[in-house]
Amino acid sequence: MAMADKVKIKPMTAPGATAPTTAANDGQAYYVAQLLGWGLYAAFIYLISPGPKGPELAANALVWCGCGLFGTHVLRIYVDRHATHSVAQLTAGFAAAIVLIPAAMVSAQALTLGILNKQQGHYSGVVPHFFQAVLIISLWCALYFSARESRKRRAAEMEALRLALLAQVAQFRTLRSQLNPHFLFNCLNNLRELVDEDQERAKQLITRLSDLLRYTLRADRVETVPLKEELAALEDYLALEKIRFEERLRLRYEVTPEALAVRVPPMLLQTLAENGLKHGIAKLPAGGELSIAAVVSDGNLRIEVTNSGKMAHTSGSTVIGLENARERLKLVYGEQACLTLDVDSGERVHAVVTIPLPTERATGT
Amino acid sequence: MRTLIIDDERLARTALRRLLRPYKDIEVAGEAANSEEGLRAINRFKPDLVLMDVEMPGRNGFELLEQLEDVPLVIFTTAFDTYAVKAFEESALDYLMKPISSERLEAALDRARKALAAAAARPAGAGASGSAPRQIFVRDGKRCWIVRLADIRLLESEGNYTRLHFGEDAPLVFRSLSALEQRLTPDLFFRSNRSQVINLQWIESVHNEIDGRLVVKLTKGELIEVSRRQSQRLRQLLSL
Repeated sequence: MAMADKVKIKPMTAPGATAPTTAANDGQAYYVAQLLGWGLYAAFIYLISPGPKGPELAANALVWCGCGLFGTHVLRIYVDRHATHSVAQLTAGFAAAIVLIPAAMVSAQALTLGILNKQQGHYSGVVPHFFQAVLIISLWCALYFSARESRKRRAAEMEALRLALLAQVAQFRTLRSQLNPHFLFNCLNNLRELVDEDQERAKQLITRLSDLLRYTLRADRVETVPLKEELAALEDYLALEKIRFEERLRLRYEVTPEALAVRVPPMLLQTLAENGLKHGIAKLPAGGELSIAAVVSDGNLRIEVTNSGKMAHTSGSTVIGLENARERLKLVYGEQACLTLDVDSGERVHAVVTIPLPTERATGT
Repeated sequence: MRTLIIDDERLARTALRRLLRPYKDIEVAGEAANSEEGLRAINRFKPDLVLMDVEMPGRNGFELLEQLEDVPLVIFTTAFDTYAVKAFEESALDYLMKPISSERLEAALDRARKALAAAAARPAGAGASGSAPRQIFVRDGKRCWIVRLADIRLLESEGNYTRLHFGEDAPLVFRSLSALEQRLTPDLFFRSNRSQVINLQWIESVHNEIDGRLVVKLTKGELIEVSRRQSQRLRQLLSL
């Protein structure tokens, strides 16, 4: 038994993700099934056999089933040693088992009968008993392997689920909108020059850049932040963008007080504003207005970022930026949150995000 | 060196002007804030050197260069554009990362001076007049080239595209052969058949076919069949 246990553990852990407890449970289930199955079979033989019931028949049935139990257990050890092989690769082993185990069973029976009856060569049922044993062992193999395969499949499904979960976590990380390095270096370049031109303003903007950097670093670790914090970061970002746009960028904020506490994914507003600047206002020689509005209505937070300009057509980066924002919303809020992009007759592009308010206190992180 | 600064950010332009101030041989002829202004400024000032940001709203720096009949020396500037930087590196174009360090700028200006001196020392091309375009900007996928027209051996039509052969490269350009041909100097380039234009300077040998047509061998070994009608013209041109 000790040896069987040792052998058992190795192949069980080989497929990978299966936890040791599952392996132990499977081992237990195997022993229970083996003992129960062969035990019942022995009882069945004892009960239905014609002729006198007695210790001779009992011994006969026990030897027959014990031999089957031992033979199939050896088969299991063999299969476990070749755990990585497919059923097809084990065919030779099976074929041997289906012949050898019944042969052993019949021989053992003949031997016991010989011992019990003290007369050799009397045993006449060799051929029918052999075929009965072949049938039983085949049945055993079929049961054992279907159980084994379904367990393998279950383990594979668990592994697939685990990987899908990991992939989703990874996806969530990459979807997080980072501070655009192009923006960052342009910013530093401009600040270096601004130090000569307007020291006070340069100092203020360096502080804003520090705050924004700190915020984006923190954004990596949290799923949502109160809109108030997101707005503060957006103001930092837009103040820095204003160095570049100067009077070409006009800003307007319309945020109602009850919207400030609602939690939103960090960097969401920045993604929308960056988009509006890059594809809208940057392309207008005279510049334009970027307005940020947030209100709570009908159990939803509605954020609207509007910029002057036309809709960007098929610019790859926009699609990716907005798609990422959309995916992030979906990951955090499910299907109830949405992000739409519209253009109105007044040459303005509206990016609208709708986020459901949490119904229970438990929602949100 | 007549120099032009093209950048959409005012402070970035001021920074460049300030960085260029110590160099007595650099004369900043003008500034432009986008590629449209840039195009006009290049045509007006005819600068020797252009310092240009790649990333600009509207047409980017590469698209601006593709519009030019004659491309001056260019030093690209960029804040952080991995795509552009890759293109610069693969294409051996000069570029500076923002914020620009004065040492790097000095090295880039040195290279520009050497390139200008080399261009001045070189004859502009057989019989080419002073107004003839000297070099064009070519882009194929990630790579780009600023190539002297005189260095182009062969232009081959491939549908709406044209394959240019120069040096070891043969990029495919999204421009029809006839559109490109208009920008070539007729005393240097010759239409040998419907789909090929050759540079006369790069002819190694000319062979007569039995039917009276000519076959031209270029220095890199390309064999070009000349159509019957053009064979007559080529004979006259080369006074064979």
